[in-house]
Amino acid sequence: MGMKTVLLGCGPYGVITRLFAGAMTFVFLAGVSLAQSVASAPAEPALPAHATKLALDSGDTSWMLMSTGLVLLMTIPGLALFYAGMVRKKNILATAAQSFAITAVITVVWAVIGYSLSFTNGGINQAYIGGLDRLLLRGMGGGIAHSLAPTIPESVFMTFQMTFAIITPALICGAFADRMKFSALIAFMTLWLIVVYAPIAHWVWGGGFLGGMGVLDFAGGTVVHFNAGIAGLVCTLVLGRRVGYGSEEMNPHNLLFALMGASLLWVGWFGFNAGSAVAANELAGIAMMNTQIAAAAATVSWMLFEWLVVKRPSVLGLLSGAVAGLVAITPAAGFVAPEGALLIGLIAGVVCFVGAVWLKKLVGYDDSLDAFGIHGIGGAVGAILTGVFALSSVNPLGKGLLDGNPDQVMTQVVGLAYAGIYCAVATYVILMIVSVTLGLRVSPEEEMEGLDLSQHGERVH
Amino acid sequence: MDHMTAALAPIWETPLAVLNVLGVAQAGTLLFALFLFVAALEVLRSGSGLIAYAARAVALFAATIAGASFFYGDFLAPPAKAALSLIAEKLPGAHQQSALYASLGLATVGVAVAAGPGVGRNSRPTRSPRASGRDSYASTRWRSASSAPRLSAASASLVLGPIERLQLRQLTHNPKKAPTRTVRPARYIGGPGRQWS
Repeated sequence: MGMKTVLLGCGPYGVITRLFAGAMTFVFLAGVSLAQSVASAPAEPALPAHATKLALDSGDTSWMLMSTGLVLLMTIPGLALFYAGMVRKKNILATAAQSFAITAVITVVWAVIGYSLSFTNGGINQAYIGGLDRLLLRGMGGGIAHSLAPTIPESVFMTFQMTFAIITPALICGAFADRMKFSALIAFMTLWLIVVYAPIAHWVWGGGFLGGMGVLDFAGGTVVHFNAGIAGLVCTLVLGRRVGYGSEEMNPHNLLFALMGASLLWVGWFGFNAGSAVAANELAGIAMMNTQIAAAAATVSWMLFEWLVVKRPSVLGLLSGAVAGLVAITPAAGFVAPEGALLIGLIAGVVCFVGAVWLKKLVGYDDSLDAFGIHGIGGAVGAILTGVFALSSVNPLGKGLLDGNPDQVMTQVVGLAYAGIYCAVATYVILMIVSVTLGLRVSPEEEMEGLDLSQHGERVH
Repeated sequence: MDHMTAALAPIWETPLAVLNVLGVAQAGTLLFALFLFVAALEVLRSGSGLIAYAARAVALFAATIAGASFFYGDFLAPPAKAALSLIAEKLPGAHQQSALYASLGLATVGVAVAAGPGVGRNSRPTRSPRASGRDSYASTRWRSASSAPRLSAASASLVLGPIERLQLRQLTHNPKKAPTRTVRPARYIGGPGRQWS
């Protein structure tokens, strides 16, 4: 009996012993190999400057997933129905199609470059624009979060911000309804997102100079609504009035569509504002409460003011008032107390009525669906009043005039001025480029025929 | 003055930064190709015959360039720059960047011209639109309004009687339909039982 037999034994015990020894050898070798591979593995790549390790909170994540859906619901079908119901019958499909097409086009542009330009670190250009760390969304996932929202995956944050990028250009469509070529719309919106929306979003939210100055914009009063309103005004002035404006009836085709759209907007706005807390926390609750209060207050104030002036409250007025209140509370939702929200709503209803009805008539531009009158003016009113009503007891980041910081109002005005001037100039240049290359406006014959037939070859009935 | 310049710096530095980033991303060819693609689609929509075939071909060509730009980056930039340099070389004594400046100048003039008569208020019809088979009441009325004193919609409807208003309504809804003086189409006047007699 050799030494080997003595050590391992023989018979069934020997077999078991051999198997055990083999297994242990395998485990040992595997362990050594693993240790070597770990030792020789390259160091983990450094996180991009805008990113942080994900501290996943399932409650926050689920709320943000829901908010993303709600904000997308605002554009399709909310805004699509709202705008489509307010145009003439011959343009109803084209108007709804604009919102739908913008949703698709902007999603692609946002994924390719928009998110990266808006929310990553731009290095030497950081004050004005982001960088290319997330070009084509590369590097997304793998336990990484954006530093603005460390408890949710960056993919969720990116998609949430994408829905904002979608609705902003879609809002502009209200200014030039009934008269822009579909091809021009696609080209204009693509360029506008890259040249206007992405930089302004970066200025305020992405670490740019406006955010550094202390401009308060909780959910996009400046970035989304004022921006869209100014762009809409420039579009209106460049494209000119609709054929027959002022001499023909241009009543809304189906106010029930508009009512359904406005209702969807109202509900979706909870995702827009409360979701901007990027967490399921107390601030989200305050934002939701303020949103509801301001929307209702503006509806009431518009209704009463219109009743007083025009002798009867119109359905269109009710809807416009609600949207005006929602727009105005957007920058303030997470900074003000409920009484501030109430006052903002009441003021916004009256001011937006003046802007959308009287100012438009006085100046004579054809802002077809009041994109500037409601979103531009409402956004500006909300941004300035945020500087008045912001309370540090609600949100430590905001301290307004009533909280002993009068400079905040001026900061808000400066923020609006920068955003407004840049947006107006850049929008004008983009419109000129599209005008020279594609042409902006449909021919008068096509306009009178309606965009449904001339642009899409379809009609609604 | 310096204060004002510094204050306005973000307005002109931001587009430069955007251009810089797009250059780093090598997106010039992609943007050009996409623009060409949309332009070709617009021509395709409004054109017919040979123009439509050409537009389709250009659209496919543009799509190919756009696809290729994902693999080869901004591959149209070097030839474009080379062409500009060649133009600069052909102009002895000219500034190094003269071709670039000339191109930008021409583009600016083009934009200015387009911003004049071609766009905006002036693009509103100042002459009658071309007559077509689809002319509706609105266009007919618009055409007459451009040469005759305008009637408001309210006064126009007051002038017309119920039959005329009905005819106009039929015309508006179906421009190809000839106006009739009856409420129902003639074939139904006899009533549904008539076919059995």
